[in-house]
Amino acid sequence: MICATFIGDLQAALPAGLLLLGVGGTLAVALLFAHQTLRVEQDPRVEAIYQVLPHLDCGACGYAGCSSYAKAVLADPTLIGRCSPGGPAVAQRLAAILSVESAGSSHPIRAVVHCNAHTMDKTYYGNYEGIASCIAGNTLTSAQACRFGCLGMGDCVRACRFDAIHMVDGLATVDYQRCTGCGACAKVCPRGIIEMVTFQQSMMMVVACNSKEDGRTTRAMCKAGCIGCGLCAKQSDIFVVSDNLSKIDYSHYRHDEGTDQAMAKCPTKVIIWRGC
Amino acid sequence: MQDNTSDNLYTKVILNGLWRQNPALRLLIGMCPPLAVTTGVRPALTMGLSVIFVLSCSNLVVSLIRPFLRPHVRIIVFTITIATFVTICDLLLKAYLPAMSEVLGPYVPLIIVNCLIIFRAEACASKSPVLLSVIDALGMGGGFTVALLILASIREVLATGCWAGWQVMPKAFVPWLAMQMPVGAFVTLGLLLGLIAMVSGSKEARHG
Repeated sequence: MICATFIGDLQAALPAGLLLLGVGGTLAVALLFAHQTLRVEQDPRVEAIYQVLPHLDCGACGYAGCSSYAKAVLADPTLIGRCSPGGPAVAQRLAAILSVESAGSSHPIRAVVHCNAHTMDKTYYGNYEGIASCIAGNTLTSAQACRFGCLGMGDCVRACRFDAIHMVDGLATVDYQRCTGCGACAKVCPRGIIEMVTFQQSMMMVVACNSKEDGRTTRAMCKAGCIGCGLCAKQSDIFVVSDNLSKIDYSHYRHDEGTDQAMAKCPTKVIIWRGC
Repeated sequence: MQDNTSDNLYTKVILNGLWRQNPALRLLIGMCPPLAVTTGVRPALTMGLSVIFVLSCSNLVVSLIRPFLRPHVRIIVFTITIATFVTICDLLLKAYLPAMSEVLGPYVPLIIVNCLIIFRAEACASKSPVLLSVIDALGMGGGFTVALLILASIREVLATGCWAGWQVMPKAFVPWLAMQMPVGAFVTLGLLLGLIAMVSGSKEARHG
C-alpha cells in the first residue's frame, strides 16, 4: 500500500525532475559556451603573489587588502616591501615572483613607544572621568599633567589587530613577539608617541620620552622624562637634542661604546632597550 | 472602452513597466542597485542594460518552458535560469568593459537575487506567451533603467558637476560630495519618491 503511494508520488515527481534536469543541462551547456568565448586571461602572477601575502588585510601597505596590494605590486614592483607583517621573507618571495631585486629593507619594522612613564611616575592635576579614550583625554589637561606622554587609555590597544600592544601599569607596552609593524597603533595615537622603527638588531636603543617641555618642567611632572640635558649627544652622534628632547637618528643607528656610555650617563635613565 | 487589440496591449504593458508599476519608483522592489550604483550615470546605465538583458532572457526562457513548470520546482528553475544569465552578463562585462566591471564590483552578480527579476518570472513570464513576456521584460527593465538614470543624474551632477563625465555645471559650482555617499542615495531617493507620490496623488484626487 505504502509502496504503491510511493510509486504514484514518484511518477508525479518525474516531469518536474525531468524539467529540472533539462533546464539545468541546457543552461550548463550555455554557460560552458559563454565561459569558453568570454574568458579573460588573468596574469597567473596575481594569484601567486596573493598566495605569498599573509592574508591579514591589515592595510599597512596602504592598500585596502592583500588582493589589491597583489595587483598593485604586479603593476609597480617598487612597492615590494610595503607588507610589514610579511617582512623581509615576503618581500624576497615577491621579488622572486616578479624577477626583480628586492627593494624592501631586509630588517623588520616594529612599533616603538616614546614614553616610559608608568602610573607612579606621572603627575595628575585632576581626576579625569571622561570617555576612556586617548583622543578624548588628549584635549583635557585633567587627564594627566604631561602634554606629551602616554595617556594610558588604550586607543592603540584597540587598534592593534595582533594583540601586540597592552597597557601595563598605565603605559602602552609593545609585545615584540607579536608586533608585525603594521603601524595601526602609530596612526591612532593622538600624541604621536609611537614611531615605526626599522629594527636592525633584535634589541634597539630608544629614547623613551616625547616631552618637549624644558628640563625643570619635565622633571616636576614625570620621574621618567627626558630633560634635554644633552649628555647623550656628547657621547654619541646618533643622539640629536632639540626642543629639550633627545632623539635617536635611526638612519645612522649603531651600537658601540659611545652609545653604551650615553645610556649609562643619562641622568633620568630614559634611554632604554626595546625589542626581544 | 476596453481595447483588446494586441498593439494596445503591448503599449499598455510597456507603460505599466515604465510608470504605473515602475519597479524602482512605484513598487520599490530590487532597491539594491538604485542605492548602490547610482553614483554616476555611466555605471547606472550599464547596470540598467544588464538588468534588461537578464530580465528579457529569463522571461523568455521561463515563458518557453511554462507548460512544463510544476509549482513545487518553479522557484529553483527560475533561480538557475536567472543565475545563468547573470553569469553570462558578468562574463560579458569582464570581457568587454573591464573598467566598468571593476566599478560595479559585486553588484552585477547580485542581480541574481534582485527580486525584480524573479517577480516578473513568477507574475508574468510563467503565465504569459513568449512575446508578451519579452515585452513585459523590456518595459519593466526600461522602467528600472530610467529610475536608475534619474537618480544617477541628480547625484552625479550635484556631487561632481558633471553628467556622464561631461562638465554641465558652471565652474563656480561647489561639488556636493555627500551626494556621492550612501546618504546622497537615500536622500535623493526619498525626495524623488515623495515627489512622485505628490504628483500621482494629485492626479488621483482630480480624477476622483
